[in-house]
Amino acid sequence: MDKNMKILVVDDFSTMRRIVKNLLNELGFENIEEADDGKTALPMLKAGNFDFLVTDWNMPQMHGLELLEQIRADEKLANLPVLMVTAEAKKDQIVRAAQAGVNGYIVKPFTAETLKEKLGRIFDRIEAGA
Amino acid sequence: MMSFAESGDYEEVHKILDELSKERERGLFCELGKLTRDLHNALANFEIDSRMIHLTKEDIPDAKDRLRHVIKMTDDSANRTLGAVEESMPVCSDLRAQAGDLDKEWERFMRRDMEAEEFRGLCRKIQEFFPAVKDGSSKVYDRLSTVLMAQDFQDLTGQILNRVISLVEEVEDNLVNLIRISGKKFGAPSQEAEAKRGAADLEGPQIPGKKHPDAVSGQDEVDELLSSLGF
Repeated sequence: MDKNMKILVVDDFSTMRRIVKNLLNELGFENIEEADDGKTALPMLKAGNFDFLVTDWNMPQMHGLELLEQIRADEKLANLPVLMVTAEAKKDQIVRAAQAGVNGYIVKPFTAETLKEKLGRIFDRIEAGA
Repeated sequence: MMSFAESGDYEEVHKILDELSKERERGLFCELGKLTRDLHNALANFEIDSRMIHLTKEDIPDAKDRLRHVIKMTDDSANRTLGAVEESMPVCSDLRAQAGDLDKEWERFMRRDMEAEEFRGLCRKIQEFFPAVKDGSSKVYDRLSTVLMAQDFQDLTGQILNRVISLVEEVEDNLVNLIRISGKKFGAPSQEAEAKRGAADLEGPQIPGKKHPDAVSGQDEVDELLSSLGF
């Protein structure tokens, strides 16, 4: 896992963004940017050579699932690894996110250990696949 | 009427029909009048007057302001706490790194694996380390006090939320009365409507005791579900 990779954290609550950012810092990732909605995140992703996306689902203007769908439909972004961190806990929602091509799914409230484990799994799989 | 119809006396038939429908209308008006009276009495008995008006005009907007204030207080508290943590962490990791270096060098010194010149350097480092620990730990101590004080929101938001809960209870009682008096029976929402709602809406966090039947109970279940899908 490249510790210098560029990560975008998307959540409409600034405190949750700070928490995720701090946890990622603790895991050794320093190159982190933030967005408060799918709508602001998408142009950033298109412009910015991001290596990884952590996104919430329930956001006011463009929710996380729609953001994920737009990413998978975009030629340049289609392979971007996406981790969803959300309070949405219904099974059909998790299945929908999986079908839309999410790489990992964490339900809030979550622990630092869970984030670390999911991150590791996502990149192990990518490296095994590459 | 049949006999008039059979004999072709249509004028008589019309007369009888008119009388019949007049009789019916009279019945209808009577019934309507009774209903109106009932409704009037019901509304008069029901304390809809000042209390209901006060509820909608004052109490509910006031409750909305209170709830917004709760959001603001929890937000402030989270930010103060996060700020304090973010300031403390580098202090701790810096001290940890310094202590780690000194520990290694001290061990070498104890093994007599150290030149005199290097030892003088170690002494200088140790001398610098003590005030660094003193300053660093008081800085962290101050930040911990900030974290402590930032928890005061729990008491205050709890009081506000309790007041809003009693308001909701009062509104609930009034609505139940209104439904009872108007005698209207509300059917349960159709399954179709319910299914539509379930698919489109985002639920937000699950509340203990109110868990959606389709919701997972934790990260383990999410992982199980995803691995069953080949993740």
